[in-house]
Amino acid sequence: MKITRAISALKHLARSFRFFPEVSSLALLIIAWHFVSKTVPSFLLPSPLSTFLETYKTLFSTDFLSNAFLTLKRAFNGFVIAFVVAHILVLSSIYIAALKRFWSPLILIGLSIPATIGIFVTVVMLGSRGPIALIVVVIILTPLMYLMLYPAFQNINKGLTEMAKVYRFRRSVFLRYVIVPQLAPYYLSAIRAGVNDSWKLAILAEVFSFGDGVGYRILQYFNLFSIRQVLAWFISFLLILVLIEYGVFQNLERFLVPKSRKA
Amino acid sequence: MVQIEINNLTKSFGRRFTIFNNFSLTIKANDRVCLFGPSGCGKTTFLNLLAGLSRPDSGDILFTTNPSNLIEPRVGYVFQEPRLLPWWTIEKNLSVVLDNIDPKDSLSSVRRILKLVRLRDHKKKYPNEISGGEQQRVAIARALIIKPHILFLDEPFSHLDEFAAAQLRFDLLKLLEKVKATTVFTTHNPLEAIYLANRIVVLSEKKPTSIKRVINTRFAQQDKKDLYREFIFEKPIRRIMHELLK
Repeated sequence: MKITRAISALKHLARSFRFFPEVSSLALLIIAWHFVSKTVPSFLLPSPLSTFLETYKTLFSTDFLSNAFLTLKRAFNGFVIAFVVAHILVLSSIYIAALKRFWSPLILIGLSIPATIGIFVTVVMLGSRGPIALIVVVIILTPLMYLMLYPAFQNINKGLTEMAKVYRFRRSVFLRYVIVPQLAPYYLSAIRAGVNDSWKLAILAEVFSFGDGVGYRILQYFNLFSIRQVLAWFISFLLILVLIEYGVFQNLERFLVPKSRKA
Repeated sequence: MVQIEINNLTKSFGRRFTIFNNFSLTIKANDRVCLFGPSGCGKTTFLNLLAGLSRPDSGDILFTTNPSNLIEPRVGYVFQEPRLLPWWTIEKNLSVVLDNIDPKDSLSSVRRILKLVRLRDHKKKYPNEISGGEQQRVAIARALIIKPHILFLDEPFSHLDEFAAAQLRFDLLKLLEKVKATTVFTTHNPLEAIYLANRIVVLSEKKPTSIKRVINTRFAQQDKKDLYREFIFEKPIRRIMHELLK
């Protein structure tokens, strides 16, 4: 009886509170974290409350904001370059079949390079103060972007293009009504995956190379054995990315992907 | 009032396969011509050449008015499949083709054409929310809304079941009588050809494709309707069908 009542209460909550599933999964994670932190020393895994207090302090410190800005800048620049290069490769492959075959072994090699190897090689070649993060992000991300964007252009519906040609759509109308809705889902996936991978790669590159950036600061705190600070910096950076996801990507998705496509 | 003149048209696919070789045909203004022939004889290729979707290797396709002036005609094209934009509503699918022609009255034109094709209640729906027959109706509406000089229909009912196709043939004939456009359509259904066309151009099976013969079917529409019903249906089925389509 009690279980049935609990289930119906949960159902009621889910109905009345829109974000119940998301919030409950996060709550469950924090509860699990709390219980595990009780069983180990606090220097190994601090409690959620103390970590969140530290996160709050970190989030509004100029030290964090300036380092986060540097990391995001590196990740963003690398992502933009990879995105542009991937477009050049994709479009040349679509229009010239021989170029597709020319690029494919390079793409395969690019896809199989582990990030750490890429970082080591770049550090050796350019020294630890060079644009390591940028280069690593571009090298690792370009083949991935190529793989995600190629099908978008390959699968453009020829029948709809012909229809648009017969009815003499203006270029802007053709792009807005025919092409963008077809490309949008691929682009959103590629941008999401690209942005997520680029900041991870940038942080990893900073750990190995720079004197600044979130990655470098996390490494410093790790060397000091301050797990609370490591977690606080990580969570603070994560919050910024969540903000980007909800502030930018979800709105972009709402704008670009029409209703019927989502259904 | 646009006439189509096709002079010495040649089209090949690769080096070995020539589908049209010095093919000539004149389609008079307001004529309703059916290109009739087996699958693979080049009906769709021919329509695509006329619509400018592919280029001939040699020869001319001229669109002329009376008195003889060359023009670039407004073309409506109903493809074998509806080719609607699945991410936009029916209303948007129709208004988007009016972008170049009639921006001010677009909404009222859409309303009028939807009433004509009996889809007024579906204007806010998406293509995947209506049946195949209704989608093809929207495709026909899209071709007609631009007030075309020339209308191409490429086996427009081949993907539909016979009930939907029969109903659409009745409706299309009514619409074609209202719209004064030179119409070229393809089919391999003889009854459809007789029912909808004024002239049937029978194409050969042999390649390159040539004109086997031209049959004039210009007789009273009522006779056509009766003939169509007699041919298609046995008496009891016809009666039920008639009831259903009333």
